[in-house]
Amino acid sequence: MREEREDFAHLELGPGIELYLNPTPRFKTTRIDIFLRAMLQPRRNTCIALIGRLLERGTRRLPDLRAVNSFVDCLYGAVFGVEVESLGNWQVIHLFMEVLDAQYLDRSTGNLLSQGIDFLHEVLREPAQEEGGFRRDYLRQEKAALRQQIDALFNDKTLYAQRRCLEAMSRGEPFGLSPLGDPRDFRGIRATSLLRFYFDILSRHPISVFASGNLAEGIIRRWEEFFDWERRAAPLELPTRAESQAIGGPRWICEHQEVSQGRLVLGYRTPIRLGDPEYPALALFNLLWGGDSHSRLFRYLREEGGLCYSIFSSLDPLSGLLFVTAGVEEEDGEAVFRGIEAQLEAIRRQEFAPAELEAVRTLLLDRLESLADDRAGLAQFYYRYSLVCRPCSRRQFSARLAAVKPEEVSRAASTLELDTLFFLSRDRAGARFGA
Amino acid sequence: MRGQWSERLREGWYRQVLAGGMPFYLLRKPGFFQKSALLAVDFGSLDRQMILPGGEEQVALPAGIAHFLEHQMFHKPEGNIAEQFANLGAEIEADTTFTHTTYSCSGVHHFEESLKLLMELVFRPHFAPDEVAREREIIAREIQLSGDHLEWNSYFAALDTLYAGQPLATDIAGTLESLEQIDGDLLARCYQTFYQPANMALFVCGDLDPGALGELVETHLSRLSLDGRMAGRRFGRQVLAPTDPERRRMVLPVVLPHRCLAFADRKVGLWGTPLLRRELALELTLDILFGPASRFYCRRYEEGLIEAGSFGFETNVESWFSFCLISGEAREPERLVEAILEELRQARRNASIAADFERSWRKSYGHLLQGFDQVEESVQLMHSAVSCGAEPFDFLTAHELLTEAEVSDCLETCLDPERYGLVLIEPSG
Repeated sequence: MREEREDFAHLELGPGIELYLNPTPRFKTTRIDIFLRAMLQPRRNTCIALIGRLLERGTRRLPDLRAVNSFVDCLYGAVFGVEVESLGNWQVIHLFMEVLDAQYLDRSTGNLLSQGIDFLHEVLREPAQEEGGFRRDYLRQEKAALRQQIDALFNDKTLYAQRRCLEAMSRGEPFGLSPLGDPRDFRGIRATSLLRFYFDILSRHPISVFASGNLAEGIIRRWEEFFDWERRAAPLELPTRAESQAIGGPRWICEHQEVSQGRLVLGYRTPIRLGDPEYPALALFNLLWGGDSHSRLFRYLREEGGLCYSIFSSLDPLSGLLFVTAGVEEEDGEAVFRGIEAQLEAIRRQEFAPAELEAVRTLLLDRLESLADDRAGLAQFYYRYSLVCRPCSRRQFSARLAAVKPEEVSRAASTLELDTLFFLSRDRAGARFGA
Repeated sequence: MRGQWSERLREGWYRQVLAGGMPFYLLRKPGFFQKSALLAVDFGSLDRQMILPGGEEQVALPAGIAHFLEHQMFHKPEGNIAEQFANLGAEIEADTTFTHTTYSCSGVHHFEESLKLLMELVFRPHFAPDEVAREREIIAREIQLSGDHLEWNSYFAALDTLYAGQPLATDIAGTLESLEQIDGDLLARCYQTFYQPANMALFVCGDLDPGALGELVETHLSRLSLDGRMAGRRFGRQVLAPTDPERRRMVLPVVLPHRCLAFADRKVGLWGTPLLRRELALELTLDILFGPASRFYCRRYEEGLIEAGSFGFETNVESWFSFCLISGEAREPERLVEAILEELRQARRNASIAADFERSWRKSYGHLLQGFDQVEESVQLMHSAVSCGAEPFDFLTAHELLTEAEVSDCLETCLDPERYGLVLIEPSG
């Protein structure tokens, strides 16, 4: 790799607060990512989903949606958002902001970054409140909006099929809980207790901050001041590894809808996790199998077989789950299923040419290098490693990838066990294949 | 080689016209790791006529031909060329729009090799009958996959309300019927007509030397022996005349009713910076009236009339057509439509535009500057400008010249609450 220095300078700002700094002059904006995490738990996941939405609704000085959105626009199109996502068994509130560097404007605007950081501080510490709780009208509106967001998943048939497969796979395991929560929990969630719950998380749960851009001198001091609120001395310790239960035989789920094309999703489990020594081999296996348009699934099932337009594999490295998703006509379902399993078997038996492995290795190494220009992706890369408490730099990961041997890829493939087949189709009888 | 430096952006682009008439643009980004290239062919789903090579015979082209050709270009005698890109660690993508077919690649290392491969991709045609047949099957599946896609269906139905039965309103991939009319012979003839250097442009962005790269591209092009190839002639594109707006209704497996209002822009036939200004004016009008910081959006969101995840708008402005769409899901769809129309009526009467112009302008300007921070976005921006007859930094000029009056004018000449197409999508079951 060209880069000589590490991506981020890493320091602990306080108990449970980590700061990652990447000073670089080549971007026109400064990007900030703040991650606050909790374990995925029933009912709490709904609370956190609502909190994520409420943080975008207003602050003490910008008390409504129009005030917040106007402020952000007036900062020359600063990008601002709060997302709630699930990573393994964790649920993460992710605030992000990108602010333009004022030197690219010909008007005097003051220090835009400073205004942006002040704004983020208010979003976190002073969300719009009334009588000791979140604003009740906002909570009511966000419950309705969240319900709609959950329902709308139904519209994207591919995403819906993936979600259903994931839920079916989970045997009460946290990864089956949605980061959007469950509307059945709404009734018991009140504005005052929700705000107390939020401030409790904020004061005790781990927080990671990433800042990248034309960072001025004194940026560390700025962030120390940012988090200068009372934090209890002992931050919460959260588990670092998502364990998986043993499974018994693949399960079949068929669902009927008037879809234009069937959606097949296969869910596999592996004991390998991000941070494990075997993980680089697993990442290469995923890319080789179905990771992209040069993968084996694409080549054999689409290009040669003409059986699908869309077929790909995806890996959740924190939960140890792999999925293959395909758009298939009913009559081709069985052939596609057998084709997917056949390619998996071929990789297990190391029936791939060295050149194939080199191609995916080169691609993955190049993608890692290009992360240097993708600050959002860079923050996500390092954050995931911090979740499993196995710090790993890009450079270290690249070195491990470069050293993976073909037999290690085969071994990684051999750890896969098929857990669930999910097929969404027009066929009312529910085609079953693969038994 | 000529170019332009922007003091505002601290960026510079270079331009060289290659043999055969293909313009080559480079935006230098010192210190960046990734490099990106985009090769654009001036051939899209609107192009449904051509004159055959060597004669005067005029041929009508079936829907989906440009998209089919895009798929077919990946097939070479030695196999699918995507694998060779992968061997170089490069990502390769292709896309067909109404007016262009674009091939983009990006990577960190071996970029010069990837660039040569990109030229091989478009300048070495290969039409084996069995591969054409296979690709026809794959595209048929692609068309079927989008059959239950809400936004895709809504979009083309909306175009059909404004341009009923015209190529613009047809799925870019064509239909299952039109696919049957496409064979290797027709693909080859289209290739000869449209895939000519004078009908293309190459855009590159990254930490690269313009002189050296220009020479590399020029040398490789000459190795591909493009002189003396038989070429057909394209038909000049006509400015599309919208028809009287209509309604379309459909039923899909979705959760809530969905509505889309479509507005045809009366100002068409523009070119260069005036075209960029028109596009910008429409974008700002829509953002001021219906964007996340607008009075409409915030009030209707609080009421629960709009769903934040689905409500939105878009505009597509070219020389030959220009339109705006406003759409969203709603539990009370008729109330949503009426609220949008009422907002447009009010906007003509009061000073909404003036009050929010500065905010919306700042947002748009900021986003433009940020776009030039990514190499993949930069090549797209350059292609956008040049395909409109402008130069890459003319987007900045358009922002600097834009007036409130131009934005207000959009209310009279495009977003007319008395003249709109409407798509109604109802949930099945």
